[in-house]
Amino acid sequence: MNARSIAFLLSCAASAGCYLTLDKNELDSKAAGDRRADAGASQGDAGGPSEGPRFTTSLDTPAIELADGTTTRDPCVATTEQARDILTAYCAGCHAPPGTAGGFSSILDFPTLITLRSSTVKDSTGEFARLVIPGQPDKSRLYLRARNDEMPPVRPPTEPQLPRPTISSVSLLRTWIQRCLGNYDAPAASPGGTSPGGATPSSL
Amino acid sequence: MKTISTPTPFLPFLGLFGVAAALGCSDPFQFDSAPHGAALTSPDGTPVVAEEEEICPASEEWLPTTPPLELFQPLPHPAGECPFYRGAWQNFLIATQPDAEGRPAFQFYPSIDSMFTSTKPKAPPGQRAWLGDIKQAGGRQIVIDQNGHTLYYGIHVNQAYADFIKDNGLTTLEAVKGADPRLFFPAGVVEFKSAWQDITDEPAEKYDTFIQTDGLVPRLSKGPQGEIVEDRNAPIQRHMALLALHVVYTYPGHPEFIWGSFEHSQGAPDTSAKDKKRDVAPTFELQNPTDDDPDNVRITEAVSANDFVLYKGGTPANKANAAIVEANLNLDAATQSFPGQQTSIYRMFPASKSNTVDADDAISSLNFNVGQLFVSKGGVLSKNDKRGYYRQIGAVWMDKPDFFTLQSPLQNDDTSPLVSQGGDAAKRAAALADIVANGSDSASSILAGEDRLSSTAMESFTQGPGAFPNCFTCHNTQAVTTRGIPSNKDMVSPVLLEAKLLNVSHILSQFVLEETQ
Repeated sequence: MNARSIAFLLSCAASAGCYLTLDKNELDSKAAGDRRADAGASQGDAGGPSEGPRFTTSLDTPAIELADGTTTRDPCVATTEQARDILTAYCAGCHAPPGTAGGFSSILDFPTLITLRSSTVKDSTGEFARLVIPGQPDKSRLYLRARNDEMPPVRPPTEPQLPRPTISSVSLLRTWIQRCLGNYDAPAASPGGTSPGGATPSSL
Repeated sequence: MKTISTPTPFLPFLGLFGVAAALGCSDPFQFDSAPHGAALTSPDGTPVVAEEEEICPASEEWLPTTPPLELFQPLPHPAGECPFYRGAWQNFLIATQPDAEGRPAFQFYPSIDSMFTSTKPKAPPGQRAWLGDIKQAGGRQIVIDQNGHTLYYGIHVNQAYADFIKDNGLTTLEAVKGADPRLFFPAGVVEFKSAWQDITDEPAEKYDTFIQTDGLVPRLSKGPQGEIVEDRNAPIQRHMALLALHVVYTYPGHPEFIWGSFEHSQGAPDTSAKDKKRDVAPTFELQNPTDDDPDNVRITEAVSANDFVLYKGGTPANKANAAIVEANLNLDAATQSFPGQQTSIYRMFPASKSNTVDADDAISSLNFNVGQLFVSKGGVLSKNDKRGYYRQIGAVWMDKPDFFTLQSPLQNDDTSPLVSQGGDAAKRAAALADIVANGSDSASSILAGEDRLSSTAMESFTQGPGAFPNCFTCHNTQAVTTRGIPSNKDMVSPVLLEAKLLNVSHILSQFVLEETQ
């Protein structure tokens, strides 16, 4: 018995079923058997391996693995978890409680985050730019500053520089804003640097 | 990859074997006492790590009409590699979805001609060749099949790629050259490079399992220096068979692209090159190239006794994978062929991996499951649907995409921070040794998947470890030259594009080349 066999049996036992096997109603078992026989014959003819296919059919779409060992069927669950990790690693030190740099501390409070606007920078319509616009990363101030290598900002030479998100991380943030923030209600336009819902405008 | 686990957790479950049997499990693996499998303990009683296979499923919903790929970032090692191979397969199935005439969808996708604004005189669509570029990237060699024809290549992208180009205003030469070096490809873009064989004069039944189409190819002629010249504005219609397809796509967090490659097979139960179902080119099965003979020049035995599309049976390994000097190619202009000439190509790395000749279980099992999916769905598939006769050779991507940076070769060598180790010689040696032993499964590897992945139809002559043995040796974020390769590999040719993150795709540099040559 080799390790592969052991692993397979364990998977059977642990899952109370054979996770490799999914014959269900999908495969005509007789046809499958015939094919295996044919396969063995053709492989033999070709001088290939004498044993038949060693995999059993599996046509189940696998769930998405999460870093904590659990799984999900929703890609946005995974993406949001990963975005939260990135924001925690690179941004939360200054923009999550107790940090209030730039006038906001809601980097991990997504329903609030999407209501915030910059108090210093306006967008192409003359409105104060929103930090995050669900579905529109290229109009999201937070995303643009990360993409343009502007955040975290350069610190005085006497202080250690803070690491900036990698391109890979920025790529993930883009997908998160583009596809996964739509579940929150977008705020109405708000003039003059104030943000709806009473949230504090940010100087980001 | 193999997922590694210690034997300890197994032990409490050993008693469950009977339970497993009672539940009706059938062990798909033959019991085997051969030493290649890991045991629970070594002869001296020392616990030994066990390697578990990664079984990668197909998805029922992929057929008959393949849905779009869900976008998420799969976990890096030690998590399994299945999502990356599945993404390549799903994008392949989408792109090769047949129309009523059996033509693949990607044939009608955006191309360089349709995405960019050219200043060169170009015949309108329908009167201009959409296949061509017969000189391969890297060495610009030309492969000649067993019928004396060159192969023709096509480049297409999905709509998301075209939208990205348009949205960022990258449609002109100046805009491309001036693109922000930090701009990267977002998740969801896909590009395709296809390799086609001219089968106009071949018996139809011989190609019954191939995706086929009528393609406009450039008219070939000889230039003053004996070079082969392509005229895309004077195309010829030929009947073509799809030999191979690169499927190159992005996931969130993977702007370096996942580089998948497919080639034709005679069909299930093909799970690896060793099954002898893949008929584009044979595989030298015995070993990977060695350090003292990296190009197999001392191997005088034939790779195969049989003919393949790109290999003449009986050709010794050291006579194969060699291009004919361009000036010595004898073009017959009337037939657009090279009568009596052919190149013989074989796969140098049997499993497309640097450290083993055994195919990765994740990809083998996925290929098997896709084959079974086609069998199970046979009743609802069009008779023109030939997608089941292709197999994924492998894929390569960055296991640690945080190292995807500007001016990076993206290789497991001294340019990798995981190898250079800040100049610490001992750590560097240890990292390199671990990469040699474990390939892309090494903790010191920035890459994952098949780190010796080449298409025999597209990178026929550059498979050797000293050339361009994986996709990233050509496709990285350094400056690109007129040979379509990074400037650090080509000190002679002019630079087409300065270093950019976007250089990882050569569509932009190809457009620049066409505009400036």
